[in-house]
Amino acid sequence: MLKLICGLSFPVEGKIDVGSFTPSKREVPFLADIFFLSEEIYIAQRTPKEMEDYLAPFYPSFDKALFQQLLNKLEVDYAGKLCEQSYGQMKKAMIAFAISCRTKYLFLDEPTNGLDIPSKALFRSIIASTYDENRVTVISTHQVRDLQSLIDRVIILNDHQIQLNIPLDTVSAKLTFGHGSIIPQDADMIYSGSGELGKSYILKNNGTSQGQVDLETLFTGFISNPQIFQQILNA
Amino acid sequence: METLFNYNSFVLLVRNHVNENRRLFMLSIVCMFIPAILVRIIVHNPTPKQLFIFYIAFLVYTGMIYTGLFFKRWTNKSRAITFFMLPVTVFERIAVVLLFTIVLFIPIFTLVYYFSSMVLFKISNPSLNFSIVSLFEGHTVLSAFCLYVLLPFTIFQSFFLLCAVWFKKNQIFIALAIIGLMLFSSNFLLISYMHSSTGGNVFVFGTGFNLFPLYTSFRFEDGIKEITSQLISNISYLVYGIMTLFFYIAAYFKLKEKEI
Repeated sequence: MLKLICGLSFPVEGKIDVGSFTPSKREVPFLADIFFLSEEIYIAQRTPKEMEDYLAPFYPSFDKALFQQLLNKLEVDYAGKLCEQSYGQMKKAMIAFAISCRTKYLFLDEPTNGLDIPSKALFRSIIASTYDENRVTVISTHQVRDLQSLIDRVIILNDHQIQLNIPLDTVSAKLTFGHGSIIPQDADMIYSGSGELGKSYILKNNGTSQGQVDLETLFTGFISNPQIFQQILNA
Repeated sequence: METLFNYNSFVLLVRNHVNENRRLFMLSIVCMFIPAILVRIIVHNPTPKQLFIFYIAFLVYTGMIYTGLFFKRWTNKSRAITFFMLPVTVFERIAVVLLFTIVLFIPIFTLVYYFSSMVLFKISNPSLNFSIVSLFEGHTVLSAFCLYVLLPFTIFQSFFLLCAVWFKKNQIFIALAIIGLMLFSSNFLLISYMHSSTGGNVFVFGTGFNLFPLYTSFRFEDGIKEITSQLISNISYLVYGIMTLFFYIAAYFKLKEKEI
């Protein structure tokens, strides 16, 4: 889907518009206002400095000060050779570059893959600190726990359809998530399941408390019975 | 025009390309010394004409391989994404390709080939004549260059470009296979046709350093008599020129629609 939005693939049916642009036309103003960081990264430049010298001029809104600041924060050497460093370091350099381009649309595909635990926390704080309501950041990830604190809206795509599109606050207001070795007997139980890490369940929230949303359990539960979730969440 | 070609973007793209491919350039220049060494092994005392035949052959073959290597980036998914997401037009991308695989490649290859040949052959035979001007009597420098160097080079190079854009994998092998098949079948059909129309005495004649005018046959019963006219040879130039243009235009439009 990210490739379709970025104009790297073309839709078989229908039409995609991003702002006033049609991605498949790959117009220069569109490409200058979009950055797509794919899961598998490729960096031709040898150092972050070379990235700044050779790639950054293509992006008119590139922020050099922010780039250096992010590199420092992520502990990536500005003049260090990237080919001699780990995949995680290369990914961090690319993340810093992608954010510093300050494009209107930023698409990150599995950005936390390859990052160690401290770097994942740093990534979350960077995304939160560079938040700008005039810019759109789309993060595609299977590691929902890594980014859960950043999410303000949940969209569930299933069977080529958007089956749920709702603010996270609404989910926590209407559902209660639990984990444990025993699943409680409760009339408000709408989903329960067992995984490798134990049992998890979802109860209908009667307004008593607003807990944390477990996105993985929400997704599994929703797929098992979409109608009941839609009925509760859209009420 | 601005939406098709922007000089500043083009310069940025060239800078970026040079930075990304420094190693490939160095390697290519080193490889350009190989043809002269091979010629030295094959022919000990070459004539200027022989040197030129080898020059054209190696120019075309190395040019095809170089173009193939140039497009290696389009077979690697992550490289291709980086390349296609750069905010430049398709025309600018093609212009960079043409700059590096034609405008710069031909002069550099020519210089390296003749320089290395001179060094290699002059040592063993100081009296060897390197003048190729006599081969092109009746032509201006520009027309000789266009007909005997640029046209043979660009028709294969443009076809390689088209294959590189069209196919997702193994472009070099696919392009080589198609070119081989086309050359074999066209020559086979042509010789067969001439054989039947001339009653058995066919001599397919080429001027040696020119890859194209193979289409002249002679009837020996009447003395050596040319059957096909110069016109056919000239038409072949025109056809090849049109095909080259067609390949470039097709590559341009295919690149516009290329999906990753």
